[in-house]
Amino acid sequence: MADLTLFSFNAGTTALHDLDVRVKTGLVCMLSMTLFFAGFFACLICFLALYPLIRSQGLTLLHLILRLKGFLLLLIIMAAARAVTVPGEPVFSILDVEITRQGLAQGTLVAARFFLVMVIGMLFAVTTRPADLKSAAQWFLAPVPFIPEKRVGLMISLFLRFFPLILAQAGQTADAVNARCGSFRKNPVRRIRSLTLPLLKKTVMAADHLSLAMTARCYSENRTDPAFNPGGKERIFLIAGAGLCLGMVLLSRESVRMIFW
Amino acid sequence: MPETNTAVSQTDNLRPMVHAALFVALISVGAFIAIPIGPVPIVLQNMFVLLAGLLLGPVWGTACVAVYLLVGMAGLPVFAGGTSGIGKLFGPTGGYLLGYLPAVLVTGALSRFLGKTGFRDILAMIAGSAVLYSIGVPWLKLAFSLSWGQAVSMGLAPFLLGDAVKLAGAVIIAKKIRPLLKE
Amino acid sequence: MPDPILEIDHLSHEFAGGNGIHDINFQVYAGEFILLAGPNGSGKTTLIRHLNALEHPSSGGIRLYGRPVTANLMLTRKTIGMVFQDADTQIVGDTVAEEVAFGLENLNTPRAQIREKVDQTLSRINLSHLKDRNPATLSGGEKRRLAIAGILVMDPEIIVLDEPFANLDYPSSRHLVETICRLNRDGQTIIVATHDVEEVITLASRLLILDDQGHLVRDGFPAELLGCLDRFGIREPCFSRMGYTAPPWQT
Repeated sequence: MADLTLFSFNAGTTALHDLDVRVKTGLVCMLSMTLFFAGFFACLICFLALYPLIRSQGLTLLHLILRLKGFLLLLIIMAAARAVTVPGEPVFSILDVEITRQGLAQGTLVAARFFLVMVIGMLFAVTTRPADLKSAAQWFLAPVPFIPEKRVGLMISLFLRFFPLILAQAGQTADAVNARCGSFRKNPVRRIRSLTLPLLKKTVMAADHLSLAMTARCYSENRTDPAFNPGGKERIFLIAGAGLCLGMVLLSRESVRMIFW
Repeated sequence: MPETNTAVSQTDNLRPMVHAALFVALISVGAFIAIPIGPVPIVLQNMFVLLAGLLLGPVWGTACVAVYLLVGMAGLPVFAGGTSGIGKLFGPTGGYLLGYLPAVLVTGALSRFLGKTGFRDILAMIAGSAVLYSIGVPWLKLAFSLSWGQAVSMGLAPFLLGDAVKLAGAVIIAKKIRPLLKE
Repeated sequence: MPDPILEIDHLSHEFAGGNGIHDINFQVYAGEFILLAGPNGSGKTTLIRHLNALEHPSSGGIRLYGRPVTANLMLTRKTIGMVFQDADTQIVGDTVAEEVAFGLENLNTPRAQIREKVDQTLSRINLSHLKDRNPATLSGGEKRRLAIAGILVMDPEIIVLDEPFANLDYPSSRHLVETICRLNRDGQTIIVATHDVEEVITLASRLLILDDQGHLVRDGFPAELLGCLDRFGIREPCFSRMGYTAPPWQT
């Protein structure tokens, strides 16, 4: 069942699970873009608004921090870098490095924004079936000219098929190579070769087989559009989301001004 | 016979698309496969991106990377270390991800333009890697407010040795896999 | 005699290095259950891939209702459904229901109709309880039946199965045999290509034998051809080897 746990999706019946995937995608985009301008208070409001949703997935702040720990480390480094490089009135200094108030504020704000964007992305991933992602991508790309959205949709479907398969096969290949003492090889190029080449050969053959099977099943690009299952609360979520974004923009007039003027 | 022509064009369209989807998966899995060489294990992800350029060509190669970024942005754990999301894509190391797009385009176009021998493959991949770092490194510099020297020593120098090894591996792989994709 | 659905007419396919198939002639009539037997490498897979124009012959041709199969590929492939040998690499969808719907989506069938047909087909083939499962988590036998459902949903005239019993354990094979028989009793025309005839020989209405050179050497009633299978590199079924008549368990 490795393929089920690989993607972060958790089956469930919460309001977020039932929400139409197009609305969910739209809200994620809207909030992420608003966060780009958001000031401190706006970030705080956004986090408070999101917290019930986080709890509804059975997650706590600690879970979030643990799941994002690698990325959080990057954020902390980034905030620290800002703190020492942005000029302003010094708060205190360690060794010869001066830490400024403005730098500290800016660094924390940038880190907070990224953290919230990551949290939103995670909420989306946890509550959305990978197959629905495909439908949403296809739906949003449909009005974009020169992008063959049905082909993109099918590529995502095929990717979802191949990903667990290849991951499992990569493990098997590694085992087979180890069984023949391949891992004792010193030459790194040969090590890459002995791991990757059998994997590629096998999967390319599987891919060819699949395209043959698809041809046999009348594959065509003139396909039936994907189906969506709205849960009925789309309007409430959209209004609440829009309200939140508007509130956040109003709260962060200062940083909006900084970007535009 | 016109009928058989439509048959051929349909399967012609389908096979490269399935191959491109396969490479989306390979690039994603590449984020998980690490080969311990020396102190820093090398991750095979960028090798698969360059291979996609060599083996799929500029058009399908770019389509492949675009779909990869799309599914990563949408929240599937396909970025390095099983992460995902818009935040990651536009985060401090996002330049290396967005840079895949022009990198695969350049590698694919050069390889088509130069021809397909081992030496030319290497040239195409070096150009692709150069494009990748020319986006990734300045991005890192901006994100962490580094000096150019610091940015290069953090975001370029540590990877050069591993990249050389990967290029050498990729040339061999491209030579062996190309006939399988043609037929 | 009614008109045949398929006519295979002097069909040859030469490979540069290998054997290929040579001058194959036979017809397929509605309601038949044809067993195509031959050792590995005899060209069974090559032959059946010509039936729905996945391969193009070196010479000769195939007619579907009197017209060349290449005349309308969509119609040909909808009419002649094919279940491939490797169950894993023919699955496209992320759930059982989606997998079954793939063929109908290709035909641009309206969504409501797709739902109805998928439900019907799944219950016909006893997979309704697995509707929302990920196909990768199914057992070998279930995957095989899922592949059949994916074909059946398009209402084909003929279902062709390539080595359907390979890598299946005994209960799964039995279940699959029952499924195929039920479909055949309902009037579905079936062609099974296999190197091991044990499971199905008593159920088939007709047996075709390809030798290891790719020639069609026998075409007749299974009961009459028993006893001469070993000569063509096909294992004689147990009961025939022991000198008994067909066991009743298969019916």
